Amino acid sequence: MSESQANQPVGWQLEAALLRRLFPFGFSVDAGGKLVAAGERWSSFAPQVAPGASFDALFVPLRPIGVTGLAGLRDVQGEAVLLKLAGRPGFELRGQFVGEGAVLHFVGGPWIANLGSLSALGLELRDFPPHDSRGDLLVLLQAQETSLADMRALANSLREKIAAQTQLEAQLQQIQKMELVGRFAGGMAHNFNNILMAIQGYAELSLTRLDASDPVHGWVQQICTATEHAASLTHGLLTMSRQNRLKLETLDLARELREVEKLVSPLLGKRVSLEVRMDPSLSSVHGDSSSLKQILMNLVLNARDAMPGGGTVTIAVQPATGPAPSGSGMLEFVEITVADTGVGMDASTKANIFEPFFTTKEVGKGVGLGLSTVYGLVQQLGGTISVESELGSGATFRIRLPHFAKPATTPAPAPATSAPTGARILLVDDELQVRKLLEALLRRDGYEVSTAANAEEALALLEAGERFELLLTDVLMPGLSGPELSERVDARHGALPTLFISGHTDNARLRRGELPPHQRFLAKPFTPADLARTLRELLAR
Amino acid sequence: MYGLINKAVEGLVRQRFGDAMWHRIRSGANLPDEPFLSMEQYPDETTYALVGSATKELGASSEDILKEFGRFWMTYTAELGYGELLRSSGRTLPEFLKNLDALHTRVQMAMNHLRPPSFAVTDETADSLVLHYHSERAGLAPLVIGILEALQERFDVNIEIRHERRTEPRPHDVFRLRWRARSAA
Repeated sequence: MSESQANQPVGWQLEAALLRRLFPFGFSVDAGGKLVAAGERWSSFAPQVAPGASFDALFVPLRPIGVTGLAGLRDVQGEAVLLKLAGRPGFELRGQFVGEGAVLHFVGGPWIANLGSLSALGLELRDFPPHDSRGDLLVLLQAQETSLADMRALANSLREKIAAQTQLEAQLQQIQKMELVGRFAGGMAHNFNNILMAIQGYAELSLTRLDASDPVHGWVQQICTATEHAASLTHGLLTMSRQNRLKLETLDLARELREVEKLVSPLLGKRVSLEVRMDPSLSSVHGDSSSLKQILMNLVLNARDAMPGGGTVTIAVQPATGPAPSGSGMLEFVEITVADTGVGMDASTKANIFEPFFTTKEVGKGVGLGLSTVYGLVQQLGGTISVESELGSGATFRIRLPHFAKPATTPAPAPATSAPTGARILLVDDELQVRKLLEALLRRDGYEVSTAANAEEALALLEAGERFELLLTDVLMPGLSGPELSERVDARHGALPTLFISGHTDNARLRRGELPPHQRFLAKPFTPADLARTLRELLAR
Repeated sequence: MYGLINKAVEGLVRQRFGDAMWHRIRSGANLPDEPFLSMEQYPDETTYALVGSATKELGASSEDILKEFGRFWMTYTAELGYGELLRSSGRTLPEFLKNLDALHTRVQMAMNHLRPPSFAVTDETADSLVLHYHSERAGLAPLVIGILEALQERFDVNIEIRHERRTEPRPHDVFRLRWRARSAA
């Protein structure tokens, strides 16, 4: 105890002892700037803060602003003061100076803003006695932080749900759009294929009557070639609108990739290289071989076109897990990415990239069906497709196909044998041109043919007692459809071999080829050779 | 009870048994798939329903589940940022137990609807004491045992716990504790 303290009245000494306990980080400074008393926590926390030490050597005032030492602090008694303790970075005291004669008492304590900094500063919660509400405030702030963490988690969860919902809505919109386009394309394809069928058939019939040296032979061949191109366009339309037939089976992935590589490599040019990477843990995927090839070829060729200055296309195949396209549950997928190092896409192009007839290519270099066809095929295979791209940073198309799906059963083709000649065929088609062409083709091949323009006429012929070895019928006709006609015929006359033909059909069973053994389906336009072979197969049963 | 408790139950199940098990337990308790809010009050029945559903799904007794929860509670609250509060509540086991009521009083500042239990220490010796536990809620004594077991790690001691239920002067649980420093073991 200093001499000045000893001279204080008894009442003051008691108050000093009380202050030491009430403010364990408090202290008192005399007129000479020396500490004359220190709170009881200082001895263990910072022993240098003890009677006899110089205030200005220990503390730096931070607030009020502009006050630099004890002299200044004397003038701001009662105001909030912030002090920094020399040699203890981060440790600050907040309180006020209360004067008593020449002695100044600092009443206050450590100033911290969160519980987490207690340990780092060498403090404990008990350093904030019950009368000091800062301890409670720290707990309150921590509770607030906990609540904020909850709110952040909640906001993130909502954001994810909204994003998923938006994605689902966009997918639904796309599906609806594609269905609309599909219905339109299907209708167009039906009529167009009937016309193509007639052009192609008559052109091929004409070829049989023309000598190869005849200049007209070459012209008619050109008609056949043009018809094939037109047919591939309608096929593209149907594929894009998911109306074509699939042959689902378990595919050897490595083999499929090798074949794609073989097919596209010659088309890439010298400046574009193709890399194929496949995760060795994958061996198969469930799908349709020609669809898969078409998907990959379209994407690779699209990538090539996006790299006019050359670059690398990378096909990578790896396993992946993700939400099912239906949105419920998780599924295992085969993930195929096709990435290029090309010009990339802006947001607007990316948003429209799968739209039918959307193209960024010059007129004549593409009709804008490639990627919408890919989209349709992927959907048809039960998968999903997305694209990641930024302008100048290339593009990556990501396809996910279901890994474990059961292969659909397809009827085994009957062995091709020679045709029984003279078989009687009932030909039903509402399109006069097609009917006449088919009649001519059939008669040329030695069949006896009766024709009907619709199902009702055909049934009347059967009712009249005519007997046939085969029914060849269009699928979509006014009145009864081809399959309905076939049902009635089978019910009355047993399982009559039947060949369905169509330029377009909504009948999923026909599209998937899920037919009983005595029935077949041929998509228009088909060649006379296709027709002859299929008829032989059916009649040989 | 505050959502913090239910969040801790969720955290325990997810950490030990995975997300799928949590969804089964939550569904078994007829609770929607929504996050709990720490500072929101929920009916006590929500927590009891979760414990009930957990006993069915995990095939464990409610006593075992509460004990496990008590052990987890210490880690969980520390992770939430209350570690300092726990650390600063005592440097020794008896000091910590004697400060439990003060700790809850502090927490009540933030959770003013908290109905915390009350703890009192009697018969203290150098290596033993009697802890008296009073709660408005019945059947949570196993949770206290779990917490005491977790405190073994914090204070590096092995604690022998004997539990008894007393009815006089008012019903409460008594835990007779005897401990030994692990370094001395």
